[in-house]
Amino acid sequence: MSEEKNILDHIKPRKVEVPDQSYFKALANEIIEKESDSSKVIPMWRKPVIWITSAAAVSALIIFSTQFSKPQNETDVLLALNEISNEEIFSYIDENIEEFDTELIASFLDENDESISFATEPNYTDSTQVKKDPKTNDTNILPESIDRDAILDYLEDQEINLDELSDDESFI
Amino acid sequence: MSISPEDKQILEMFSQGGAQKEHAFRMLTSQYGELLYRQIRRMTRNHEDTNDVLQNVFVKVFQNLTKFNQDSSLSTWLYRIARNETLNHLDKQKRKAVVDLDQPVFEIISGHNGLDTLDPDRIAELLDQAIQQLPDKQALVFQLKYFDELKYSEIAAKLNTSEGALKASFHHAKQKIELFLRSVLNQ
Repeated sequence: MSEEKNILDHIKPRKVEVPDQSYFKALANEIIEKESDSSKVIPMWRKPVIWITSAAAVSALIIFSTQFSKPQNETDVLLALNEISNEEIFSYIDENIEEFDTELIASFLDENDESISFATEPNYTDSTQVKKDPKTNDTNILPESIDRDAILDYLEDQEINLDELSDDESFI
Repeated sequence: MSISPEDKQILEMFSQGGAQKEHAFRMLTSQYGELLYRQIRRMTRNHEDTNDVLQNVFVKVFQNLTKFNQDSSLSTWLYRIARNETLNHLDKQKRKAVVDLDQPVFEIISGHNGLDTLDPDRIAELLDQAIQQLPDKQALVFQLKYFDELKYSEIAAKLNTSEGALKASFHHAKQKIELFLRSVLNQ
């Protein structure tokens, strides 16, 4: 019962059962076979792993190039354009204006941008329809959706006397 | 401990390659298989794991025997490989939380206050930890004498050393294990 007695005297090991010699012979043969197989030299091109790895690498490359090359090119172009100042772009357009398709440029411009004006045509809103009088060739900007009587009623309500308007102000 | 004539023969034949190499390897597994099996089985506590570890041990031996520089005896070198492989295996098993063990490899003789309060599995674990603190030679001698219960003359023949050296080695190993266990049990 004393603590002074060796602890190991209270621990009795049990016998471990060991397989017979045939187990160790089989184990040795298995390892010899495995190791001699792995030491055989196989040419690189005959190893399936090489073929599979190569095929996978090529597939990955194709997928990568088709998936990512186009957006990357577009991004590159936009990035390059960002580096050109507006002044440079405007001066280039001025110098080469004849080479530009003006209709194409016009289609890109914001129709609501009031800072842009045309020298030959007035700036009209969407609700107006531009008409030219075939006799006088004058531009008529009267909206078709409003009839003449409605305009006269409006002027009457606003107490506007047509007779007092000068020729320039009168457009009806 | 020096290289025994049998071990020398194995090493020479193995270095020749071919059929000689294979024959030498069969001799080696026949001579040391049981010793390594017991060592591993005591730690893994089931045949399946022991079989897996023993295969890995012998594969490593096959691949590295030509690099064995004879600083220690062949048995000590094999013991070291088996110990490392078993510890690695147990470490992986712990992570998998696999519990399928034989009964404890010890029988506890009642009468020791500290031991009586402990689970046999815990005692086995502590004893393993204590053995891991020992140098390879002492651990090997301890295993052969304490667990395998071989006579000093048998161990001397296996390890190619004197009985006196073995007795001293076993005595030192026991002392260190006792100290380790006492320090843990008194905590």
